[in-house]
Amino acid sequence: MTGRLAHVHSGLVVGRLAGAFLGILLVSACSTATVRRESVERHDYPAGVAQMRWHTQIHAYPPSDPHPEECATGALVGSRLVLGSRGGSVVAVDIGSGAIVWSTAMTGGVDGEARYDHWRGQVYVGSDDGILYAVDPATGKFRWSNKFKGPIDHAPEIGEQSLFLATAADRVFAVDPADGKMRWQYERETPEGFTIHGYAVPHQEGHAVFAGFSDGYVVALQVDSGNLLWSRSLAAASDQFVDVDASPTVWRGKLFAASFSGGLYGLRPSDGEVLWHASLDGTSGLTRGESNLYAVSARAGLVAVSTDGNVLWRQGLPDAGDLTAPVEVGPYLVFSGSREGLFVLERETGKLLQIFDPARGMCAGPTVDKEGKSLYVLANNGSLYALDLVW
Amino acid sequence: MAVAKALEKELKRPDEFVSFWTHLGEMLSKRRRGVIALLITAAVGIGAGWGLTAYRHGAAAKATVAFERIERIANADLLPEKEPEKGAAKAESTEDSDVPRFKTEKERLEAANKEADAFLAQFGSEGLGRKALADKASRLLVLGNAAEAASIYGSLAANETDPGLRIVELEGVAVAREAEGKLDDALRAFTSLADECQRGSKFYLDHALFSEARVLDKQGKGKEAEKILREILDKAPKTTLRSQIDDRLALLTEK
Repeated sequence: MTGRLAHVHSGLVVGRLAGAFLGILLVSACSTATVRRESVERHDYPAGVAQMRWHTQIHAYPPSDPHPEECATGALVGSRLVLGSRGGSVVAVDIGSGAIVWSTAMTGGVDGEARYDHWRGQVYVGSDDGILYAVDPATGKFRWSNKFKGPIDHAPEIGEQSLFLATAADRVFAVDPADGKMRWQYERETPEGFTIHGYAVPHQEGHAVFAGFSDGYVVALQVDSGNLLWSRSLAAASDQFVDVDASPTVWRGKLFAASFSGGLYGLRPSDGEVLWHASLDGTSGLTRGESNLYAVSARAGLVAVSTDGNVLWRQGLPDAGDLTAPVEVGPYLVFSGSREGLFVLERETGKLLQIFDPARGMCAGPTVDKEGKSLYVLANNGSLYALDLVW
Repeated sequence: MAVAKALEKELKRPDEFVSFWTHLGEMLSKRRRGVIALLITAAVGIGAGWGLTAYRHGAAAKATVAFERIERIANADLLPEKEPEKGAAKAESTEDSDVPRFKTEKERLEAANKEADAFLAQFGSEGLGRKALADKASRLLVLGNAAEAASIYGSLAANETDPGLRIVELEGVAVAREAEGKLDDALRAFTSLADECQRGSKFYLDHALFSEARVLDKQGKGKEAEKILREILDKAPKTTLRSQIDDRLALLTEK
């Protein structure tokens, strides 16, 4: 009996040891997650969280060109990245190897992002000679192309029935996605004198399309007709550099918009009534994150703002040049600076984790593959870089 | 009788409660040595796996920084030919404090290749190392060392698994052979490049055939060159090389 008890006892001890070991394994699994998080924090600038996988030349510049610039951002379609370049072509790159799969010539250079239309299986790319192309991502052939007034620096907003395209000539067009034909257009007069480079991408929400213009106005247009629903000046007291270049966005029942001179506004989408105003001078970009807004300001740098207009953190980056719209990926925020390359910040605090600058800055924003934890970004020298993010 | 049955049930319950751990304990204690060995192996395995992952991440981070430096050197600003006059306003500088500047393009290319050699010595010639090698070969071509460039492109193409990258590397071999003046070798290389394109996505086929025709023309085989140029127009009428092909065909017809 004693022997049996001892046996049972020792069995229990071994069993409990095994249980304890399993517990340790579970704890270590949890602590591994914690360690990973800490290891991310240990990756101080300038190295660590973004690891290069490959690069490939999309547009070669001669050595005699001392300061080349490439501003095109790609669209991910399956295992391919479709993007244009100032070289006047649109290419598809295999994201596994960096090999070019196809290349199609265009009449103009590309300075904006490409956008994939999941519903119609085509990629939209606009060129600096005002032509919008619908590209078949499998073959690179153009399904249609149509010329609009003004250079196209941004891909259109994709709506259910129409595309909403803005051009640098202060015009917004509704475009038929089947053939590229114009359904309606709305235009505002460009103010005399200097304006800030860039323009806002329209945003559709329900029956309205919200758009910003270089005269400092944000407007709401009827989706079907382009008729004006309301307009609101965000210029504040200024009469110059009043441009609304940040793309308006509707979120949690509010319309967020910004002007260069007036700063950031929270508006009521139904009538444009101002709900709150934050004096973020020089705001030229606005992006919606999971829980915050991010404003790009020429004077303040990158600023995280809550939906009621409170500044959560600010990252100055005075030497970075013009910043692209930041993209959230995992615990990070990634974006480019035209003079200093790719930036990786900690999303919660704005802490700078890494700068990747192989070739004199990046005015093109990164294309992020959130599932693949990867990003693809074109440097100013025309070389495309693939980087994996670690967390 | 009923009380006895109830007691029996109550007595059975604790047995049922401990039975799993007891049985597990009994089983494990019988195989104590094996269990301990298994636990140690698992602990070592987890530790090694964690260590390997940390090492790989660390190495990848270091390789990224080292590759970035090669690129920064290859893209560094050249020093101005003349010293700026005294009192003249300084031009806007994009100078990197950690990247040297060079007087000539040749110096810059040589410095980038030296940095690439250091990268290859530290991180090897796989993964990013293949990119470092390919970039080095393209710089060697500009520097006039076509033989070494051809050798590097050839070794990259020989063990390339990606068909798209193999086309780029085969073209490197052909261009380097042509730069060496070995036109027969260059023609063979461009022909095999065209065959590779024919088998693959065909998007680069027009360029490969055009290069083949160019080398044939250099060799004085105008008729064969003309035939290939017409073949390109048949196979790829929308080729971006159309105006160059038309010009070359006009010259060949004049001859």
